[in-house]
Amino acid sequence: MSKKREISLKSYRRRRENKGLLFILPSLLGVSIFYIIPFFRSLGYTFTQGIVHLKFVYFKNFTDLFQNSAFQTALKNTGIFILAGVPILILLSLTLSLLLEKESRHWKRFALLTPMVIPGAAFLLGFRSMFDSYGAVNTILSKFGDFNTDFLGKHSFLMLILIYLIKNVGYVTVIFSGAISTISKEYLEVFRLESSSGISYVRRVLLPLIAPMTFFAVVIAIMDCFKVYREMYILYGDIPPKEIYMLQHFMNNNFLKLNYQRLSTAAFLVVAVISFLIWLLLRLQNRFRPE
Amino acid sequence: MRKVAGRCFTGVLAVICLLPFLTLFFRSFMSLEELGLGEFHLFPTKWSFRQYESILLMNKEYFYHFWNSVKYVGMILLFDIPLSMLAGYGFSQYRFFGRNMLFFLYIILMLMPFQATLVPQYLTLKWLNLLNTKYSVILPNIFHAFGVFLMTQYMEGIDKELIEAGRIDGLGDSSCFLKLIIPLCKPAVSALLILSFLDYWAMIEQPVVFLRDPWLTPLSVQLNSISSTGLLAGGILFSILPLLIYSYGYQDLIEGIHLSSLK
Amino acid sequence: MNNKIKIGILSGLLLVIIISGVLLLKHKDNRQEENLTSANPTPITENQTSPTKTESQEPEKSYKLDTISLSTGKFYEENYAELDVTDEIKASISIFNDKLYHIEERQIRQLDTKEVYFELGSYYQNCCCFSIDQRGIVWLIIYENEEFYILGFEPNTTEPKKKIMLSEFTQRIQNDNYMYPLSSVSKMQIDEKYIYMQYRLASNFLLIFDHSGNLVREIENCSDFWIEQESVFVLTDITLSRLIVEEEQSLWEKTIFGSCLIYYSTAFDQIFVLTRNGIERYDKEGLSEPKTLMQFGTDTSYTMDDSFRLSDGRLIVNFIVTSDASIYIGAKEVKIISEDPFLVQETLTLYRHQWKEDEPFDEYTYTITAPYKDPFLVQAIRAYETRHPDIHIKLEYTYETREEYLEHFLDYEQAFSLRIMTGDIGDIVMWGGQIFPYSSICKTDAFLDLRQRVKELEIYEDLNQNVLENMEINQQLYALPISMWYDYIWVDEETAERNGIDLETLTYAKAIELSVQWRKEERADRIFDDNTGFILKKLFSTNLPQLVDLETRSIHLRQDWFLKALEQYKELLHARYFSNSKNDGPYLMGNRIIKAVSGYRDRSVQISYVQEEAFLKRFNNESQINQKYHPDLCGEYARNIRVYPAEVYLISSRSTHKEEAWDFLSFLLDPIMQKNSDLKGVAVNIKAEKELFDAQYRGYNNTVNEEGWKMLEKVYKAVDFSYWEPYLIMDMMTPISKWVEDTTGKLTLEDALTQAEQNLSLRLNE
Repeated sequence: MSKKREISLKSYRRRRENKGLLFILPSLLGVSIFYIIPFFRSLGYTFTQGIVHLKFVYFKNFTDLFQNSAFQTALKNTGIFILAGVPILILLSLTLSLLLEKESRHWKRFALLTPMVIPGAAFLLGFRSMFDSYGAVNTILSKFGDFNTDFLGKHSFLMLILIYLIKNVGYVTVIFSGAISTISKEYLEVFRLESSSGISYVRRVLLPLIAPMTFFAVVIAIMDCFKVYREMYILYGDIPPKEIYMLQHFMNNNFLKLNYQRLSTAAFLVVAVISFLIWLLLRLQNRFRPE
Repeated sequence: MRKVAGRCFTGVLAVICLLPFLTLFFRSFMSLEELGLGEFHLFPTKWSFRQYESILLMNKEYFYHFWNSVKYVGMILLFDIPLSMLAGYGFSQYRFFGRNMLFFLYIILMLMPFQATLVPQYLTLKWLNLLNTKYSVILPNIFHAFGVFLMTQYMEGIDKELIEAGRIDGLGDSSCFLKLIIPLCKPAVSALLILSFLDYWAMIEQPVVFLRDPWLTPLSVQLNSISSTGLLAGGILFSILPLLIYSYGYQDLIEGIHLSSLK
Repeated sequence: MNNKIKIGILSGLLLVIIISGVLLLKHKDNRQEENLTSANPTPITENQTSPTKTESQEPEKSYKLDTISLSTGKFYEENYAELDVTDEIKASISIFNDKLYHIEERQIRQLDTKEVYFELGSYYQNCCCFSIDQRGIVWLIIYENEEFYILGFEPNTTEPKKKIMLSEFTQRIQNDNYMYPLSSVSKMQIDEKYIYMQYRLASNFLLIFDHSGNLVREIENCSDFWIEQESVFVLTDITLSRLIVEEEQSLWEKTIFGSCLIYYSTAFDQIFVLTRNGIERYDKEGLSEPKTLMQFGTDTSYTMDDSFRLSDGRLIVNFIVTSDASIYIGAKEVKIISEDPFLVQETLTLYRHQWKEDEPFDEYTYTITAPYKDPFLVQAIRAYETRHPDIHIKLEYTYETREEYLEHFLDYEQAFSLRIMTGDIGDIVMWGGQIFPYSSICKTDAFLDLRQRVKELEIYEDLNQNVLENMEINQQLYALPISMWYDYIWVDEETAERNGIDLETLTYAKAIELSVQWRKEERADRIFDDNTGFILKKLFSTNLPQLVDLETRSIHLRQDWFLKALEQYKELLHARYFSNSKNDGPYLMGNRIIKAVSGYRDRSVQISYVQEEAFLKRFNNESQINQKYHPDLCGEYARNIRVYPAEVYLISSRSTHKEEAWDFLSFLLDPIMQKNSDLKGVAVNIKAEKELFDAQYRGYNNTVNEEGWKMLEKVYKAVDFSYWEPYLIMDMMTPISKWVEDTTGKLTLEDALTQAEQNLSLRLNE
């Protein structure tokens, strides 16, 4: 008798869980049409060559790609950029959102978000006027001596990181602010009873509580690494200095050369690498989840 | 002491972030001759409204494109937010068959660079006969995985006890959703509203490729062509709406939910 | 809360402003559209047709100039009529009730039926001008006993119904000392309120009198006019305006270049303008864009030149449009019959042309995709469809004008690459210019290889074969160029010889070296005179194959001669050695051998050759230098002269109408299209180009012609590459030109070269 009950309980539970499918159905429908199916179609392209008459070439595209020096450069640069930029951005935004929680001056919140809000070309105008040869920074530096540096030319990687940070810090701060604000004050009060260290509060209580949102923020940060291509393009055109030649440049230029297959092969590889990363992060997130 | 350091830090950062905007702001009041000068100066020596004039009065294109942007973003958000909430609820509270795989797929799709899925998406839209219409820009973005992802992550952070309490009280799934979750999600919805608005307000790649007629394109595309005279003033006017949305939504964003009210 | 409300109100306000603005503008647009649709004519079917129309079933389009046999009084053979107009008055033609009337043998007769409308009789000697008004009343301007007056008659009566004394006009004639009063008025129209006369003095005046003979208004420089119910259309110089006599300010004005005659048609309620290019139609309110009904040269075989004479010298004097969509153009010619006694004969030849309203077709045969609405392409399509009535070609374009396209060409390139990949393009694709990614296209199979077809053309001999052959990459020709842009130079051969320079073998690198040497010697003569930076660009482009090997993807920038040339160039640039004006460095004391000419120019038949030749001659006279056209200088190891196509056409591989598409493309190489004034650049059909050149110099000394053409031909045929590699050259040039212009010394050549090499390696390997 109890076995029957067990089985019926399980199936009841599964039926209940499967109800979730109903909720995601509308979204899933749209996503399949516009994203999933195209993704698999483009996957199909990676095994072919040619535009009008498609030739099936098996894995030739992949082998070509791995041996391609431009792709290697792009891959390396993108990897370094993500590994350097994302942690800095996350830490920065987290700090800011904590500090801003108690901030009464509203202008600072606005200020942080303004780079995101103005159109790219205009933002770069402002950025260039800061770091150009006649820009603000150089004018200040020249007062201390002949330190006029060609930021945009020689230190392009640094500039890139700066653009990335300035543009996205407001965005990610919004995410964290939203997350932090929902944490009940009770947690803080309870914690205060036990210890008065702010940092350990952050580490022991806060972070685990907002782990899902942190994960989200990391993913968004990675996504924004790709989006910064727009600004790079406006600054440097389609071939930038070698140190900031990224995967998106590779892909975009191949697109313009009508070499779609190479593009999708590269994209597929990128996706494979990123999914591995995400899988790792998901694991991490699960470890942090509070019981 | 720590507080002062904190204040300083945020202040400095805020100023750095503000600089591009300020440059844009002041340069939009400069006359065209001053803009041509290579040197940097922040404050215009002579304030001139010529740029604003050229956009608002002489050129009706700006309004068209502005209206296009408002239309597109409005329609996208109108459908995106409810859909994302539904899907987020489904993903976060239920563990159905294939849930992890599907969620993983969502994230991957979100991270795919646009050029990769471009050709098949174009073909799909062509098959649906939606190319060169406003739906080619609206529909794919309604189903963008970003909203679902945000909502899922947010809802996972909601205390499970609340849901249990609701269940015990006899609420079914849909009423659970409507009565419990939606009110709790106000900060998340504000966040989604702000972030999505920013994303879609500035979208460039999709309109360029899917919309062929120039008058269907939104303002973001037009402002990107650097050769227009009213660019800077246009940029300022372009930013007003997002800033308004931001300030409007921020209140909701930081308004935490006090659990005591529910108990 | 307060804050929120405030912000909410603000945003609401903003939206309201925007929306109302948009609605306002949309409303204005709608109104314009309404006007346009109402002005779209449907030819009036009542009040129709002269007898001859029923006889000739299908009126032919007059795009062939029929031979004219000059016998007087021959009426309506096919498309024209001929009238003897030795007496001035006979040249005027009036229209009433859609029929044409003229004077023949002292009678006003209808042109087609020869029916007599009015007998002039004794009035004929003194009659200076006639007109039939809307009610059919015949008005004559009579000059008798040194006085002008107007008589009005009912048709086929002998007694005048009305007489108006024109004392003021008589006074005017006397004051102006006009020698031949009988030919003073070239045109007259009359309505209830006013009398309009075109007074032919040195420049034409439009005089408006009221019915008592008082001068109400006077408009100077009026080349033509036509009255409408409440207003009058006036063409002065190049401005068409519609005005009300009493009001100072005109209702509207439009500038129409090359305009000659106008006609207001009550049937269509629109105004037609005859210009140098053809006939356009505007709506009465002057709101919308004109519609071109006929074009000289495309729809007809005769053209019109600057002084409004046809290509055989006749002067256009009449222009009338009837309600059956027929256009009548009268051309006058003066022939000297005998010297002694001096006899002339003037004939007026009437041409008739019918236009067809464009009907939108559902069944287009094939499609042409272009980035913008190119006027040349539009005319080509019209001309082709006229010659092949069963083919309908659809032109799809993204931007309205070329300027708009150039503003957004980056976006267009992105979108268009996608369309090529998905096959969403027409059967024929138009592209062009320096930015056309020809090498990428050659690596794909998206377009047809046209090499064989070009060689099989009948007119292949007439084409510039150097251009066509050098357009091939790997023995494949995917894009058909129809016109090219050249960068060439003007050279002073004498000075070159004097200094021992052989222009045929001179290379840019060597020229720079020599310049340095001459500077040391302080020679007065110079080789270059360059303030546009073209030397650097040419140094790269003429040596490109040696610097970058596309086959093996290797880069050889660090060749000694190249590095030396760069350093020397920088030295000369900073010493301002290349300046050519008094204000900018040491002024040129001696002669300058080479001056660069940029190849880009819009071709307008009248302007390009004559102006450039004239400029060259004037320049030569002023500076006492002997300048000649010369093709570009060489590269270091091979000549490597690069030109680029202004317009190319490609046929898509997915097309289902390849043969028809190719037929159209070969029509584009036909002389009739290659001589078109909207074609940009130099035509690929060299024979057509020569014919144009000869036409400009009609009347000049023949040897000047021959020499001039030889020079130009040499330039046009010196081609080694008919396509441009913009990205490669820019990749190299950008870092190096930064180094060249750098004055602080922080950038070294090493840095610039490394940067250039990196750029190139990325670009080649992608």
